[in-house]
Amino acid sequence: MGDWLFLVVLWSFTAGVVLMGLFGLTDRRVNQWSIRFGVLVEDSIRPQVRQRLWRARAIRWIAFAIGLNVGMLPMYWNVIDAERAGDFANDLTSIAPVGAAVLGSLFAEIALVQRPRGSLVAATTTRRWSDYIDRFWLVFIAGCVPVAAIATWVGPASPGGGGRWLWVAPVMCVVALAAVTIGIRVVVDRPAGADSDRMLRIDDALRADGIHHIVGGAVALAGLSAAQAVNRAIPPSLLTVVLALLNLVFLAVWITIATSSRWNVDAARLQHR
Amino acid sequence: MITVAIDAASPVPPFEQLRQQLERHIRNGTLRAGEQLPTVRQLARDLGLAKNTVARGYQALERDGLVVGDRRRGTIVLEQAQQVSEHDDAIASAAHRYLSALEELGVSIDDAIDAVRTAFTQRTPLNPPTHGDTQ
Repeated sequence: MGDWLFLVVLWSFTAGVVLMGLFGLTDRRVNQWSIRFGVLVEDSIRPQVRQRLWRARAIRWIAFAIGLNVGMLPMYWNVIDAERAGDFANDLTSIAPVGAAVLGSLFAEIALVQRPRGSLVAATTTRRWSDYIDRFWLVFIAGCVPVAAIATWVGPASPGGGGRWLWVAPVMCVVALAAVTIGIRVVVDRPAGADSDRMLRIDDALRADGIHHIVGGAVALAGLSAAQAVNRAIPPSLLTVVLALLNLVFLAVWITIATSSRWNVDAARLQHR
Repeated sequence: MITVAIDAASPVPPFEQLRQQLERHIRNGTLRAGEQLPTVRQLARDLGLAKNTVARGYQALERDGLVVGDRRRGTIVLEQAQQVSEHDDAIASAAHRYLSALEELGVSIDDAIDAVRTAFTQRTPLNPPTHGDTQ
């Protein structure tokens, strides 16, 4: 009975996540977005901007909902075959919600952004990846890869057969780095098709928004994975408590980077001059 | 925002349209010396052109001494290009002033040119202005 109740709660939560993705983009959020990136979204282009933001948001949230359910596979299996439920409680399923959110953010930028047709006007502004995101976070993600790899290499294998999932932490760090690299490449290379200063700013803000979501998720994915690997490698101590708290910090950083960090593309671009 | 636009219906090839517009932006100073032009890849994608077409336009600008291609820094606008432009502007301005003065005197263009030649050859030592003098 308890397992079924848990599943009902999970499904309700999943439905809530999907509904937030589909209907959560209110006018207030669009206004907050415009303030965050320092762009003016006038009424004439508001539907266009809103549509673009909605599509990306819907994909991200649905991907997160899928990941959430993958992460809860042990609970599902508990209802079907309780003896085998433990097989699904591994490092891969535990990181699945964050991993799915990162891949969803990447997919949103790759799949749903169409090339403006018939656009034969281009700005002479050079687009650099560092116009759209703080390079510190890329260094952080890249740094997590060797940390997770070394911790996995030197750490003892988990007792009870858990050792066969040890590869997950370093691989997830590599997945985070790859997602960010591909995402940045896709977003920066995307054709602009902006024929006015106003549209160019909005186009830049949309790029920055996409990259912030990918990088935010990737920071959480790499950080959680590296912390998990280090946690395994060291004997239980105060540091393991710190690492456990760090997990919460990584989740908070994800939300901050993705939704509320104030990033002005113009200001970032000025530093290159 | 500085833009370049390609007219698909124009008989002028796209690379030449691109070259002409970038040259104009460089000569009149809207694209400043040291400024980096977009990468060939970026401009080709934004304009929907082949990369070779954009690269050809950039190569033409490089041959004209307006930009320099750097593997690390990309394509950079040269300072010299704008100095030459300012120098040309100064000469044109002086010529206009001279023509205005001649109009008041009612002198023909041939007589005016002869007068300039005579004055120029009689001037010793010959000290032609350099580009730097116009700064």
